[in-house]
Amino acid sequence: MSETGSKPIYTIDAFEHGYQEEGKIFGTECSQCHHRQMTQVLLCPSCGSKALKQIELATTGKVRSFTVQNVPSDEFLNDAPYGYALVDLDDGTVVSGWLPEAKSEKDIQIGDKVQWKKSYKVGLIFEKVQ
Amino acid sequence: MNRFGKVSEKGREMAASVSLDAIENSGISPKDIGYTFVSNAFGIAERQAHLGPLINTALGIPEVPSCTIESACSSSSAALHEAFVHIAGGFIDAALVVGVEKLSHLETLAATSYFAMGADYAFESRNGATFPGLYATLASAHLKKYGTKQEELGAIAVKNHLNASNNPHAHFQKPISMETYLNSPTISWPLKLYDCCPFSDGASALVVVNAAKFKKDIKGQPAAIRASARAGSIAALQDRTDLTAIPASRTAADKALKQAKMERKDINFMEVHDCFTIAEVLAMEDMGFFPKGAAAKAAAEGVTAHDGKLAVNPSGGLKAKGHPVSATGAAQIVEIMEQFAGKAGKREVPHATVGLAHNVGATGGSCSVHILQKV
Repeated sequence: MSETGSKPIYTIDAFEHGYQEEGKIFGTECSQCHHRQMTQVLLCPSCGSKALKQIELATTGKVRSFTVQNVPSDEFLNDAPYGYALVDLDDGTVVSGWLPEAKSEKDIQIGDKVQWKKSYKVGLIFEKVQ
Repeated sequence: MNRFGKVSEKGREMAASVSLDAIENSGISPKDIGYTFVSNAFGIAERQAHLGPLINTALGIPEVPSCTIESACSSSSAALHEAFVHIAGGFIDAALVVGVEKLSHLETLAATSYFAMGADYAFESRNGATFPGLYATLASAHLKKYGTKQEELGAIAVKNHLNASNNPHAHFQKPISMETYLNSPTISWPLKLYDCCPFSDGASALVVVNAAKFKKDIKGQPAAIRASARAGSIAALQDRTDLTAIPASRTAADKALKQAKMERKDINFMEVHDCFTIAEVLAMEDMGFFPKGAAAKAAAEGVTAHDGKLAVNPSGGLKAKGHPVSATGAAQIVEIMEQFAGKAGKREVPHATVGLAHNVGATGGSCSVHILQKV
């Protein structure tokens, strides 16, 4: 069963391998309507098409919204406080990620330009671009 | 329901106890139950799954079928919906709905980690999100777009703590001042400690019946379920177009009002999902009771006080009554029933005859809206 049927075009393991080892953020693009996203889907959430392809997402963008996490989950225990942001990438994809350098709300604003940075840590890490 | 807070009993003990109370208060016999719907999203924190047969055995009805319904924070309202559908469809005549959660034996770190599992673990939690963090990104966007002020979020916390101080079931029993709110530490900016619901233990149970079959048995003040509706939204916040609204709240409310053949003005009061103060704002706006950007101001002006024009969370809400995840949806219904029965004391909503319960799973991936009418 596991090797048959429709599958997402990248596995979660491959996604994490991409940003930790290959220096690439994978996403999907719909060949019909060109909708892009990072989270895993089998059909395009915008138009329902099955014609999805794996693409590399842009690595720069702007902060769409954010918070600063003072109380982390166990996987981020040694990193708090840090910023958590939804980012509008320059190619139109919206992703989430974290900013180790954003230690308070004074360090980050909606609209700030950010750049993705390859790291062996968990999650997509972004840095502010001056 | 029991008193929410730090409860020493195990989850199964609380669940069986509130279930027996609910059955005895309803007037029907345990043998009348046709199905038990249990919610216990984080039962694994107690190394226990498959709670239904344990509860049914404790109640002397081991032959009754049961299952566990999980929909994150909206689990027991989803269980109520399943009970409603089974009865409306004619499959059974009576159901027990029970929601329970026990997490206080865990440290804050472990509890925060469990809660984060209700989000998209791979694409949100692994990127640094926590539950307060996700609602904080909604709050940031709302503050920026509508100019919502910290003090207006604080007004919701102050109101709900005041209501909880008049609710013997509530986790928090003391009112708080705006100064206390503003001086509390920041958890996930802009959300402060007093913007956040506590980690609570607790259990609540409901008995749902086909009224025509149990006319002679029903005791106390019953309520008619006029609507039981559910809806969904895209799971991860990053995939939604608007960060200042939860689409499922709007859809579920519209469905429920249509089902009940009612308009918004027919609703006297409501229990809404305020896991964080911003969530109460979103609930009021997304369900269409206030224009976008107006709900927080309404709270600050007293419109949503228990004796205001439209009472919101007279129980104290998740925010101050407490939020034992899987018990919350059923507990909202308990509050509506207590208001109908005139048992709400100092938090009484004047002339309460139609109540709405709004219960969100996680950041709105799922949502239930129930409308109850006093009969």
